[in-house]
Amino acid sequence: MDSDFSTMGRSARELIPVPALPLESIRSRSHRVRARGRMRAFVAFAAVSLCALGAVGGVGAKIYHGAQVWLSGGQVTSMVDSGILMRQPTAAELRNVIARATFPVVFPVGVPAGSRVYMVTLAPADHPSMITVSYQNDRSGFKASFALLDPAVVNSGDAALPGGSAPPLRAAYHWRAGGETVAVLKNLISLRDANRIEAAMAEASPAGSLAVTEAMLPKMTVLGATVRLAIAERYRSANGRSVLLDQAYLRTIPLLVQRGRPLIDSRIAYITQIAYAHGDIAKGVSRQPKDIAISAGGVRAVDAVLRSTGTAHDRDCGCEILFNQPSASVYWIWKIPFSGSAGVSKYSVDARTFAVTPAATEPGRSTQ
Amino acid sequence: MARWAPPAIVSAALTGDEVAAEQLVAAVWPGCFRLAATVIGDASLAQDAAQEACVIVHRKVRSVRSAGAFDTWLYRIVMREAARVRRRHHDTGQSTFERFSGSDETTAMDVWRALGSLTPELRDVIVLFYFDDLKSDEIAGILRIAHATVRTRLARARERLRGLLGDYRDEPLPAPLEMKQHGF
Repeated sequence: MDSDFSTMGRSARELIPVPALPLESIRSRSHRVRARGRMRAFVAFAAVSLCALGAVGGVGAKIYHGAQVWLSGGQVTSMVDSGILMRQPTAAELRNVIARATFPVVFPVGVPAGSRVYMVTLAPADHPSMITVSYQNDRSGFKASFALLDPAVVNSGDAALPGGSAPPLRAAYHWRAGGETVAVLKNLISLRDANRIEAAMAEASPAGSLAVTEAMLPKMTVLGATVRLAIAERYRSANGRSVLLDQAYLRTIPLLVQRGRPLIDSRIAYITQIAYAHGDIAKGVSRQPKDIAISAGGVRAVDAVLRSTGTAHDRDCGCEILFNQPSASVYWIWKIPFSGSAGVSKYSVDARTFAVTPAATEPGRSTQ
Repeated sequence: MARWAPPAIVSAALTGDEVAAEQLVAAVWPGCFRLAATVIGDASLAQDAAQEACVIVHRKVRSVRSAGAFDTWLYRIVMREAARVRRRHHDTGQSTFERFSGSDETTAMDVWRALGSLTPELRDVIVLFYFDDLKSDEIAGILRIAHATVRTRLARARERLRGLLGDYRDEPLPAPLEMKQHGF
């Protein structure tokens, strides 16, 4: 049966007439889904961290102006019309957020030691009255998002609950800390953790909590889902901007070199005019980031290092790259392998000739 | 494992090159459509599944770990989209495979009739095993089922096809079924 049936099957399949490729439809649907995906990422994240987006009532798509939160009977829902999603925010970016906030922000304190802030969202985009901060702790498995709310946008009581196609109410712990209301979904955190953090926040000041939070932020620009951040921070240079690139970003390097383009800092997404209908996102405007993370010359330097260390264009290097430009004449690039047995290698690249010079190799144990 | 597209195109698409992604979609389209058609049994539904798969390829190919991982990734997408289309249209196993064969293609007619006699689950493994020449552990990875389940489904499908396709060479059954046949 094997050979006969295989041959017969393949022959029969080859006889199936193939319709014309609907490339235009595939292209436009792909772009549409990609744009919606960015909004969904924001909405999904915001929903998890309470800043669900939507519109009150109405049959058609509708934009909700500003930001509002409803708290009733231990349940919460919220709506905003615009927002900013910041992945791996830096201290400067966080300070910029609180400078524009409509309330004195007290950040969560008392989260498990070793936790990192991996995302911050704010809404509305211009003067945020809702800020969500997301923490992750690989060691303890702690992962939770806290919504920090201006009490002026919080509505209480059943009568005030939104209707229509508003996001559903979700069970949450909530408390007051200084001049803000804090809320966290019950499915993200234990009661014990919530009580501990509530008690710690009651004692914290805005400045003190900011200092605690800044210690949990990356000290460089982190692009992608890096797994080597802790190691990269050991090698980070005090001069110039340090950028850590994960494998997905490294894969784009050859194309950028070919086109002479810089690497864009895509950590921050701006979404405005969010409208919601029938319980789902109807539309919104997402703005592409334009900030440059690594100049076209720096991109060439990264490419030169990857080539000089034997990484062909169609292969992954099995590493992450830490980039820095300490002066106009030189780039420093660290190659941080995934394998614990290989060491971290530092390369110096001439900014004019792109000649690569190995600078140092740290022993393998330093990557553990 | 079968190749969907030349490695150079796959590698170029992995870098995020939009033009390469479209070239890749063009290269994989016939294979996607024919695989979907073979497991669904309906050209119109197969076109829906293949188009969904190609939208995902266009949109997400950059996220594939490496060029070597592309084939399995695409098989998984096409089979998943085909299953989704089948569910949406309540595939009862009584598909309309005869539509594929021309009136003078007796062999093809036999093949489609045979596939149409199988449940979707059995059909999936038979098609991947015989038509696409995939090993049972590769099929298990693509369909996200246990290796033993693949072998059992293969054995069941062969039993059903035995009568329809007539003479064929026996091959060892998976151990549990073989033991059962021998009265254990």
